[in-house]
Amino acid sequence: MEYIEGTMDAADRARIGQHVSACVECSSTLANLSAWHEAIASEGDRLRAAMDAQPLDTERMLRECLQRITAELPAPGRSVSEALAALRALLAPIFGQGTVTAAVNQALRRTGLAVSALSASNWLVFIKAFSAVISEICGIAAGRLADLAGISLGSSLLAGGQA
Amino acid sequence: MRRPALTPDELEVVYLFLANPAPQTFSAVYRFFVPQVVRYFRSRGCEHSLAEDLSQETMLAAYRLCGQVKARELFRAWLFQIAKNELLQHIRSMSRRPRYEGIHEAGPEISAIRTDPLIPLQVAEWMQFLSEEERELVRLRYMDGMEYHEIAATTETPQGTVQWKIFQALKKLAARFGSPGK
Repeated sequence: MEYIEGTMDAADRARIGQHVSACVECSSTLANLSAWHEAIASEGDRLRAAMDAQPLDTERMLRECLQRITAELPAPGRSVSEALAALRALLAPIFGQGTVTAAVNQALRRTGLAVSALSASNWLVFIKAFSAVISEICGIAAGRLADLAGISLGSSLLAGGQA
Repeated sequence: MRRPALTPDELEVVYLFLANPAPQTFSAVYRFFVPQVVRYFRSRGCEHSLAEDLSQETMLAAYRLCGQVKARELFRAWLFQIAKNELLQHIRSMSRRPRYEGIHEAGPEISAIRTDPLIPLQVAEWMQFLSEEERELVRLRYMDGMEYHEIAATTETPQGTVQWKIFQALKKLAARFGSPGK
């Protein structure tokens, strides 16, 4: 299938191609199977397009799904210290332990907050400062990822929770 | 053009969800993947409303069981495993009745496809000549647009075996029909 789909590495492809060009039977078989591959792929594309054309009320389905999740599986609350630990654990493999620690410290300095003063009410302020530092060090996309991660973790904070 | 494996945006939302399973992170995953899950059920003969219901159950199960995902690159493959189990469960629960509710009998994809003038008949007629296993592999590859490593994970079959069986399916069609134009 790799040869037919063109994903075979160059060396193997050249070796097989050499045989195919010299063998009438293999050349004919390969041409036919390639035609079948393209035909089924084309029909598959048309099938997907036809099904996607039918409107899907994704937002309504999402609302219903979230209602069931909330009713059946309430999201666990966590303290700010747990959220901060999760933020470090989440981003350290990507940006490095040192960078994350430095960014946390810098964000606390910029916001004038102490770790002990972090709470659910000022979490987003901290995260904005944190993601700005990450942007400065690692780039805009990295800062956006840090922002998303911080906001997600903030949504599960217990109301009034402190670090 | 076949759909590639997970896009960078899909990988990002999956990563955030798996790191912090919560309604907010799940919503992004839901918006990306539920259309694909609905299409999965529709291409296997489910009527639209049943496909929606089964998709909801699939996504709820995905939320509950997200700790089982081994690698975010295989998230879609894992999701389709859940979808397959949901479909089998539905069929089993309906099996006592004379008709499978919401699923067309006797070649489900053929009957379902014939009711929709937009969906080509050709693929339905070709699929009749493949085994059930071959049909499922062809569906996963050409209609669901999955990569071979995803199909291998979904079906718990070695990737080489998946490729070999799809190759054999093409040979079977070529032997039966000659060229695809006939």
